Amino acid sequence: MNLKDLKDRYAIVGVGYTPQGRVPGRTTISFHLEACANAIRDAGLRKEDIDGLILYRYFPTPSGEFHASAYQVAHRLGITPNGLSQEADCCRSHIFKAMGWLEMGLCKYVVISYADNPLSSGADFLIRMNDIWSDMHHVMYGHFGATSMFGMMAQRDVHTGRSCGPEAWKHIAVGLRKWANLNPAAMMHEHTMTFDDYFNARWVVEPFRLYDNCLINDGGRAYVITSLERARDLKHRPAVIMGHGLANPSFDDAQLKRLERPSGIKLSGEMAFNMAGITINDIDACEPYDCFSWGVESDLIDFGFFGPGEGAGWFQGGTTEPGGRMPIGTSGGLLSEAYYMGVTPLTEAVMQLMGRCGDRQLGPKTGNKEPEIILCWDKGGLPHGSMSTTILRKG
Amino acid sequence: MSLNDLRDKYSIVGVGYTPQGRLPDRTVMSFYAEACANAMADAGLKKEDVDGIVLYHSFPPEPDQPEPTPYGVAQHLGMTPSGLSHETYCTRNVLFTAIGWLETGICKNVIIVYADNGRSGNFLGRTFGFHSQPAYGHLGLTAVFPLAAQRAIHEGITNGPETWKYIAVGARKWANLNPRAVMHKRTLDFNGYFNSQMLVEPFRLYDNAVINDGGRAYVVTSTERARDLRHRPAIIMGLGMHNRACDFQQLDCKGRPSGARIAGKMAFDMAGITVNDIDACELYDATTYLVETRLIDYGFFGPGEGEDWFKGGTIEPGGRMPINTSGGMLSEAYFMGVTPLTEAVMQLMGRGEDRQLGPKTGTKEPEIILCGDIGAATESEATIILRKG
Repeated sequence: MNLKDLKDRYAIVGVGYTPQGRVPGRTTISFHLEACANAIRDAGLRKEDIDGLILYRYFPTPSGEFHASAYQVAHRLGITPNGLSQEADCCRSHIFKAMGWLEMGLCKYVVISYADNPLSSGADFLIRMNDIWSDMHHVMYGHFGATSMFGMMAQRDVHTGRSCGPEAWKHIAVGLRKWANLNPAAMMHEHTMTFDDYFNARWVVEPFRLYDNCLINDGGRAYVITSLERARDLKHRPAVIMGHGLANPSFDDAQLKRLERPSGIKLSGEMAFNMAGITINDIDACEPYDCFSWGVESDLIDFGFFGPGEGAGWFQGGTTEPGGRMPIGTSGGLLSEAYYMGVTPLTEAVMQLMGRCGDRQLGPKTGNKEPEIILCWDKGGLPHGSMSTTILRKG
Repeated sequence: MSLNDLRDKYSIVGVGYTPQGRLPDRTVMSFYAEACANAMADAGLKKEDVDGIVLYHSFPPEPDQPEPTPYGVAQHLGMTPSGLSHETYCTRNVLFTAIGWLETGICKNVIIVYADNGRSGNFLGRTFGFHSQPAYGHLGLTAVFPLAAQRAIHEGITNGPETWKYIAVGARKWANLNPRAVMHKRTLDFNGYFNSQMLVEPFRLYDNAVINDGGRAYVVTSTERARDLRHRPAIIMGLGMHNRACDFQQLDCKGRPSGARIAGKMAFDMAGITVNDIDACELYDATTYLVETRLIDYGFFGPGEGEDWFKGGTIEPGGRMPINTSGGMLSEAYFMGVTPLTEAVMQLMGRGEDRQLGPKTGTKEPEIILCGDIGAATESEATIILRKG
């Protein structure tokens, strides 16, 4: 089989939400269970139908909580799936893994889930994230976490002129917040943001201010993936996977030769667009992996939306906002809705294509084009570990 | 597409060894890199040809070592694979994931690898003590299987040590033919088995796998591509997997089928054969007890019939059903499912040297070998049937 043969073969058929934000009195496992159960129900399936379960990366749970392993989630859901997996680190292999299992007939319906309880449990998310680094010598230099790693990359990009810095990033932060303001489930729904608010916010790690960083929240999110054929019998119009790509270029950013090699976004993007047989001109909206505002600018350059140094100009005038010509992050994204790694953007794209987004529905309501094709991406392993791109189309 | 359509479509084409045993001056990352590099070289592939890497569960490394992340491993090898994954805990989907990637065209050649520093590090100190279990004296991995075994003895599924002694001694005899095996130079007889210390009743020392430093990897690809590579391929005839995913204390030995029963049925159905066609077994022998129960689940004998079946050297060199011919995890080396699977591959490739099944060891030359892979406390289980290419 050829990668191109995967086009339009698989679809996402259900999404499961949970309460999100600061949600005390819960456990990580409970969020996984609720998200998975809701996704299964949303798809119009029963748990007996689910024969594949893939969890995003394992984090050690805070004390007092049972560990959130794939077995625990399956056990408590009451399923014994043929395919069961949980990424140990941040490889973004989930969709290719699910497609592989579906294609080989190991599974018929696969659930993919992310959940965490960082706010209410007091478990420091960024410290738990640190354990994935292969070289802890960074801390001697004051480099304590993911934020500083991305900050270094951003400084480099500003220095070379690839990135326009805060003059581009302010549009990203403010734009995503505007979408969140239309989304009652978004953590930042009730908080508006102006450019002044963006610039007046405190530094986290220069060049990043507070609103350049994504949220950390309690909660979970899950979705169900199956063949397009099976999808036709289920509850909602499916969100069809037109294209998908995965690339794992490198890890240690201190050694990353960025200028000499294409990024994982560029590579996985090429794979996905090749599979889909389309170009960025066919894209109606983007659901980004907006862990940091700088990342969104960088990824859009890699996809080809604009060139290095052109970001500030491209974003100007509300390009990505409600009513703009390229809506980006329509739920509020990781920056303003909720952090579920790649599940946040992907599930929002699904909901948009299914026409279920209420006040933020792309179309007449928001003054945008009704979406046919949405570009999503997912980034793991700090800036250049493992990246995936997914192109979804309306079913 | 049904699983059965995959029969014979994929093959294992190379095995990568590293030194194994007690190797305190090595890092886990170095074992990963060496095992992968050797597997690729063994297959006759260049690293540019390999576009998938799947890692078994990694234990936390010693404090002065880098975490063996999958991207870290890829980076050390100078590779940027399209498919990259690393299992948390011990879900045994690795070969299925690899084949799924091959089937969909994401990858052409995939490495599966395990490495660890268990011997020089503190293996058991790094493993479980889940939730409140330590409060009851259940302090680590070693205690998990004895609980199940006690239950199995109580239910008459096994009579325990009188059967397990054959498994321990049999594995050691194979290890004595294998210079790589950690226990190569140490013989074991029934007295030695019974006189060894009780670890967690009813398990004595020799009921448990060795703990060692080292790594092991293998390359899987399509049988079509395999024909152009270096060795005769070990063709994957049958595959099955099941995840009981049940909290171990709630496992019911008798009440429901084990993972092996379901995974085994899947694999045998795909292969279109029965246990009577099996020439040898490479089973997941983290403990002797697991070998016996899986042979029951696969249908070699019934509950309570183990002792008679093993009697007279059934699984040993010269026996009618050789089991764990490298010495297994009990006596060769612990690399999770990579231990049994790679040994099956080597045997089918005719590269077993002094332990080669056939005239050298007074056994049948193998055409078909049954392999098992068990994860965690049997929550996840895979069955793989390989045949000579």
